[in-house]
Amino acid sequence: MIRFAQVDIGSNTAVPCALCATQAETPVFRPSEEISADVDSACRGWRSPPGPNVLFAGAEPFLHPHLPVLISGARSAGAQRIGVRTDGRALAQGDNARGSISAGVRLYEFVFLGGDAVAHDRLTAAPGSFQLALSGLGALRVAAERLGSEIALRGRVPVCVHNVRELPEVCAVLAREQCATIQLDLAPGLDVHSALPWLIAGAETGMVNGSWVAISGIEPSLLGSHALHATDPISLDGEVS
Amino acid sequence: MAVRPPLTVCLVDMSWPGYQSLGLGYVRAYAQEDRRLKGRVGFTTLALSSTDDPWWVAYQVLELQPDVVGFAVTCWNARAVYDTCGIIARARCEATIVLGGPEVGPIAEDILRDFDCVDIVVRGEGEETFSDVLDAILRERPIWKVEGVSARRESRVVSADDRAPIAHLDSLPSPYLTGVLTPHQGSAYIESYRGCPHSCGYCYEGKGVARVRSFGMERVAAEVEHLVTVHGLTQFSFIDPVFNLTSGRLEEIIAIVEPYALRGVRLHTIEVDIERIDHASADLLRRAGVVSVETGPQTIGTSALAACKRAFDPERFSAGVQACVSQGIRVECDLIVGLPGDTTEDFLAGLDFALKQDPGTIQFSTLHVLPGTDLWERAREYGLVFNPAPPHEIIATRDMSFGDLRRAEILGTALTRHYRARIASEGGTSA
Repeated sequence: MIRFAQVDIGSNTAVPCALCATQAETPVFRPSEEISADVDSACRGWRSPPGPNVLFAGAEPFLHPHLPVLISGARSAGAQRIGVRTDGRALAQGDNARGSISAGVRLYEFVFLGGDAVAHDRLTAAPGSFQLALSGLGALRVAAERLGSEIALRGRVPVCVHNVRELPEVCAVLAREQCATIQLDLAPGLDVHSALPWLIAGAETGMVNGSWVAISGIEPSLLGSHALHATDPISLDGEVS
Repeated sequence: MAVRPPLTVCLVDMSWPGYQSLGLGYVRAYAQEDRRLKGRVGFTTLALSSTDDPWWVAYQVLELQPDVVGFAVTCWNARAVYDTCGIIARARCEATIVLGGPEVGPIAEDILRDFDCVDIVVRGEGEETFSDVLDAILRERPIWKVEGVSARRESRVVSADDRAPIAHLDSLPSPYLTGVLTPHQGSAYIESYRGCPHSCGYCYEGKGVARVRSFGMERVAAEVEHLVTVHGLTQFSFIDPVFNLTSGRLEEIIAIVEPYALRGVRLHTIEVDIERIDHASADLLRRAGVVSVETGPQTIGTSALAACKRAFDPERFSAGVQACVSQGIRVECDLIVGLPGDTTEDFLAGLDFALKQDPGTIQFSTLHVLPGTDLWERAREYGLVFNPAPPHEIIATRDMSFGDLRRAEILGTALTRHYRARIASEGGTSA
């Protein structure tokens, strides 16, 4: 599968469930030099094609003051695919969608918690965030078409006890928004057996709407005839695919 | 006022949007040059598409009031063609409807039994047979006696003897040089030989004729020159099943094409046997202006490879891909899901293998069990369950259930979308 080196640009804004989280509200960013050094190291050490591929995660990248420099640095280091993990809100604003594609971002991983505005905004504790994220997705599609650039959209759903029953709706929304893949990422401690029907319902909802749903953090055999859903086309260094 | 000839023929091209039927072009070019038919048959070709509404297609055909209506049928346009034929036959019952092409030829009698709107099915190569059909109509002779034809004799469906493959391809007038075909949407396809040295179980490229028959190089050169100088084409392709059939032949074609490549003309998406490409032949392809090649492996599962009679050497395959990529030639690796013997694990291994080649493009498709292919004939033996209606998609195999196949399709599609989304994909290879 396609491997990405995950490079954390900071911490504390991984869009966790507000009802679960104990994290601070304010993002903490790492110095650009450190991040660029990690990118260089990942690209230099890349041995197996396709790649090198880099995903900026750990904190909201569009809040990082030097994101353009980081992307430019990744290109210079030889990255073939540059991705960002985002809550999507910033992409609805200004020229961020077009600008980031022009700069070289090709993978956009949107973190979604709920399948509608009420659920998503409640779980993120950010009123209006659902609608802004959808606007961001739309802005990206329009910008990519205008630029003639091929981008990939991906949904990432941290699954916890507060949104597990939301999974069919979340997957339906992300599929409708043309995400090629949707990753259901199970929170540690989640009761997998009770979550299983919702995970499979989410996977099937994505399937019939044309998106692949990958379930991480679960023993594939538990998925029975749906075991293939433990396969994720994208694998991140340090993550189990 | 134009005089209506004794027989009017309407050829209906319902190719996939963006394409045109080279087969119908050959058929018309041959019939127009046939001395028996000169001055007695008038031809019209309607360039439509398989996505056009059959009622609208029928309307355009019927406005011409043709005596004979011909279609080239593939698995992709068959349903639309059958619908159109049904409307035409009922609206103008005196029109003779003739079908040919890979979808109907191998199952000609079934088609005639299933579709009473169809009068004649041409089996195999159509040029000589279709002209003989027109001659038989003009002379009011029994059509069911024409070699290569299946038709009705009174109420019975009968098939005349098979027609031998055309021995000398240069005897076929060129659809381009005769002006029957012109480039379509800025591109064109040239055929430099017929037949295929391989016998892949899922494929009808060889059209049931394993022996390779070639057009002369003078003819190929004339078509290339015509397309470039008369029509100003800057890109075209060869539809040969294996472009690098032999190194000698490859060198001959490169000698024809290279002067045009130096002027910027490009060849796109030619099919190659990648395991036979080394750095020297990749260099030849580059000199010919080849920008992209299409190849397998289709599968890397040993059971499926055996069932489909395909050879696969992963090291030679990788070397071929790298040789092309090093010359700036984009490689399209094709994979098929649903081949007999392939499991879900084989499918994943195939995807992984293709990714590791980093070829530029990974194309992924679902098996279609096509009439006339080995898999069609041996479907029961292999445990293949497929849709009998075109385009004959695989429904289930012994090793992959319906659900397994559908999941594999979505996963494969998602993976190829992620693979395509890269910085270097715009206007170049990923190298």
